Amino acid sequence: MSHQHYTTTTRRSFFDDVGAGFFGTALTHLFGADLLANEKQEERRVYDLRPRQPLQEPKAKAVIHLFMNGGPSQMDLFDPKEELNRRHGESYFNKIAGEVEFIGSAGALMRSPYKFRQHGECGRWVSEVMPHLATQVDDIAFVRSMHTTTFAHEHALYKIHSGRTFSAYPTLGSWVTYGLGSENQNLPAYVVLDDPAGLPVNGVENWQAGFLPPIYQGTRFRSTGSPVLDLEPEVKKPAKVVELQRKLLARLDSSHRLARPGQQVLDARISNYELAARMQLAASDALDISQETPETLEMYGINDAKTESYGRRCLIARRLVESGVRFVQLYISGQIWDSHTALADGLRSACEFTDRPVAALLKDLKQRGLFDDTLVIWGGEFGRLPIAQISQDKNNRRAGRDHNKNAMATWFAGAGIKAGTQYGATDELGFAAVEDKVTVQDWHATILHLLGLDNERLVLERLGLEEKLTHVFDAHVINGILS
Amino acid sequence: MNAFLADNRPHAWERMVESLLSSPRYGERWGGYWLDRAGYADTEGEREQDILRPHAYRYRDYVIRAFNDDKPYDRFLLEQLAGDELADYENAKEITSEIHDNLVATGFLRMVPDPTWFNVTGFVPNRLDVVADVVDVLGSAVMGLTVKCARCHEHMFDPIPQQDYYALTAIFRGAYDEHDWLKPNANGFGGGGKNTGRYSYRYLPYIPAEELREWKSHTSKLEAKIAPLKKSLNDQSKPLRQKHLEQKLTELPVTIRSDVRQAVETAADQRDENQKQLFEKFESRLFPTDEQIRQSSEEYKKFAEETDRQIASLEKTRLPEPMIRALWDRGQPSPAYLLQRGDYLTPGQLVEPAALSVLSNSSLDIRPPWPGSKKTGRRLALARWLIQPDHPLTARVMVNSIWKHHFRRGIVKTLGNFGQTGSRPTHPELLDWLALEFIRSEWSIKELHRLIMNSSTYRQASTVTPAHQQLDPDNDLLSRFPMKRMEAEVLWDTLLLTSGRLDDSPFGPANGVKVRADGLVTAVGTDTGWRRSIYVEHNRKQNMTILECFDLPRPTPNCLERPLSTVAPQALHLLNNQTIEQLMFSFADRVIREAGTDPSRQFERCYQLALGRSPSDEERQLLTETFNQLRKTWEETESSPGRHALANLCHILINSAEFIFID
Repeated sequence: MSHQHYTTTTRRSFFDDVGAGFFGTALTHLFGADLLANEKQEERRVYDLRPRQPLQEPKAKAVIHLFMNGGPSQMDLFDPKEELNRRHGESYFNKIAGEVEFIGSAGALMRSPYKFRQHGECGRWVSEVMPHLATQVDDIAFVRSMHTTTFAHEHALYKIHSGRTFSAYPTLGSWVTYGLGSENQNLPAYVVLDDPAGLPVNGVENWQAGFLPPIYQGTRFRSTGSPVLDLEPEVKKPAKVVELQRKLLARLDSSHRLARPGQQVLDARISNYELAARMQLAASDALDISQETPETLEMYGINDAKTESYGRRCLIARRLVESGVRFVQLYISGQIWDSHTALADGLRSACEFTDRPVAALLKDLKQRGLFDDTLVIWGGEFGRLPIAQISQDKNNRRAGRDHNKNAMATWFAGAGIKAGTQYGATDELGFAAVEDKVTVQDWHATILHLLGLDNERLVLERLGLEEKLTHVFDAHVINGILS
Repeated sequence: MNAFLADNRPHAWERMVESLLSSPRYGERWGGYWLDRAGYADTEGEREQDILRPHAYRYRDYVIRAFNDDKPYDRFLLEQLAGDELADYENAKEITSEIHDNLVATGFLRMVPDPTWFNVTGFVPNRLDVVADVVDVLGSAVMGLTVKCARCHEHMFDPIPQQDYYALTAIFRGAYDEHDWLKPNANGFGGGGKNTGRYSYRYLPYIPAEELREWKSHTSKLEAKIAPLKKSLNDQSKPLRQKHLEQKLTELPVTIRSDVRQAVETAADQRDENQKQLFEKFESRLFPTDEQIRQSSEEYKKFAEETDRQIASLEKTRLPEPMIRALWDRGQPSPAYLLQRGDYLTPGQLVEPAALSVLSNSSLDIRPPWPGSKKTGRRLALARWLIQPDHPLTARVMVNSIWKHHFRRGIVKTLGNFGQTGSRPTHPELLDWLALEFIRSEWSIKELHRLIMNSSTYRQASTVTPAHQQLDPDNDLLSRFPMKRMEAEVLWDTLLLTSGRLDDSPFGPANGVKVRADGLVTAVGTDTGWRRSIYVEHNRKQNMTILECFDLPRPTPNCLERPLSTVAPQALHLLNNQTIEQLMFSFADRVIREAGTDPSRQFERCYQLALGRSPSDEERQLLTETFNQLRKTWEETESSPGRHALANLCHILINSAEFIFID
């Protein structure tokens, strides 16, 4: 099997050539010929972010991952269950006892507090709490039959991001940027727009590069103020001082470099200081939403306190993809989808926080012709149970739902996706996926496939093992949702 | 450096090597590599609550001391793999430092991430994952083999049958038995349950008497300082309490007033039933809360707040009761089975504890470590097998690793994989010879350093000539010394040292880290600055940003070789970070202190401190020009423009390639 990326152990030591840098282009210009002259092509292994053409023709060039950490409830959003209405209040615990985290507060089957209606030409069922998304269903492929392997947040988060239930494995975004590089060398390839209100569970582990070189880990962008840590001097200095310092550094480094021919890592370093300066401009520009029209700001809900935070990040996500960033991932602080209690109110407010911005993002991408190149994915780390989780005060109106690894709500839209479809099904109560089941590996393989990558061939050799995002598990592309 | 340059006698080089090896910094530096190999961490990881391992630091200190004392590597391994089976600590008349160290050393086997303290992540499969990580650490760090691959199937490339993997886990079963599991201590988190006593969970109390005495004396001195503060609070508040009481009594109906007063004034155990009832009824009304007294007197409030501050600052120096976070054999492990496809639900045949079959002709000599001991002696037998002088891997793997840290790459480049899929040694005879010399010198790591550092290979310059580029472009043949970039910790420690802000107090509990709202992670400082990175908490979620920028690894479960990246955030951090900026003012102040106000002498001192040399004439001219312009710019806004200009120069020196890349 021929491998897509640099999988042979080469004469060059394992990570030395990470020296090629965050933005390898400058180095390539400076030193590409030199490297090629010294080495046999097949033995080259340079870790960089230069754009690379995948083996297959890609459908998508970029990904926006709307990550809904906490575990959105499938039967209250996209998967209505008539049977749950009928059997509301019936005891069911004994049948699923091993699947419940909080056994002490497990209640009876609980119907959805929301009304469902069919929408769009495709007639998709969407709950009343997502009125904006409901207008976009003809562009979406819903997958109802996805499931995962664990119902603890931490391990389910590791699983959905890295394919393994442990910490320290490379995440989806890292694999994608390892495989494809980036179209814009002045911005990070994998940008994480986390919530200014705080980090999600597992914190920065959600976007780690694991054993891939650290250039492939997600870079956090703050949606207000200075986007990247240390992008601007924290202690203000006169411009003249900054300029004098830059000049001095350039002169010291260049004479140091001249005295050391053949030390390529020094060029990588010099170009990095130049890139740091360019990044300052590019990153600030990507965040400057004042360049947008009032209509656009309105559409994303940036003028409304409820939707301002998520709307801003959705809009920045579009701007980043437009500038050539490969993988953008959005997180929400805390766990707004983790509806253990007060599901009726809690899930509604989670939707109020995200629904309008998400729908706006889809519309906006379409308007700008970015929809054909951009894959949008929506979902969390697991789903929820059909039985109630009783609140401590035993108030039934404050009931929620516990975690469920057997079924979860997720959807795809954009590049390469068959619009207006629905795939797979859960049982009559929405407890478990039963028809056309989709594993986390299948989900990973599908995303890679849309980007022109092959989950079996995107590998990194490590300690004698060809490491893959899908590990040793079977993984099948979900052909039913592809256009 | 200057001492070496001034030493014109023969063998000056050898003397410099000696002085480096005998510096207490040696253990902090080279022990650090071992801690990477062990996967050292101060937290359990794998869960959102990244719970602390408050006593893990003893293992870190043990490693640093072992390197400084040049503990023979065979003994070092023996203690880490089976320290609990070396001496009968339970019946020892006296807890010697050797017994203590033996137990602390077993912390090596307790370093992997461990979520099993929590209910939903504490099941048998989670426990088996912990064991798998332990086997991985042992395999990669000590044996140079990917034993872990044989967990689910026969090893694909090396002659390690799946049976061998489970035979190895059987070795650890006296301590890691998934059916009789000691959870990590997780005080403060419901899932871990309660600690039922001093001896429970993963701690042992075998602390040498002297340390225990010191701790007790420290604690009682602390108590003695706190007690009078608390007493003075009490004394000062007494009249206020009395006043409150009298006031409230007068508000009671006259009919019961004197009865209530009598009930209050009678000692608790002297009250009759009636008085007890009265007391209970009126207690909350008559006796003020602390807050109420503070509200009643502005003067007292001020006093109390100040006293609170003093107590809190004293409390900060309180040390936890000494405990050893250890691993020990508890005897009578359950039988081990081969798990088909690695799945605990499909056990296969029974497996006996054994070493890897491909590396051993005879079975291990497993017996209780001393007569009457309940311990199985399995790990002791494995450790003794590993440290036999004719073991084909133990010495080679260690020698290769030491070589790597000197020359940037191992003789076998895949440090943790000497198997089929690992890389062939570039200099096989050299590796063999070094391994033999290592064993001949009684496993002395310092002797190995001497051998390497006094060699002509080590003493080469790093200049790359056209001949090098043509004949040895990748320096596989070591035709020159490799240029090296400072590792993360070295960089931060050097910045602190250079700017005179290094608190070099060694050992003891780790200093914590703090996380700013925007994600910047910094170390918590001390009164005099910051401690070396090795003494800063190694947690699994948030590590110092500067260290992460410069490739501090996340142990997965351990790290044999760090990636080396050159990325933009490194430049951004060193140029724009506020702490670095402040350190540069400390650097400038130090230079002014040591070199006076003459700029030319200041430049000389800056260069000596940052780069270990004098500036060239050309550089002096450049520095002077830039300095004058900087000073002029600052004159407009600052009263000490020269100090600002000097700090700016220092800032550029520590950003220069020459500072961070070592020739």
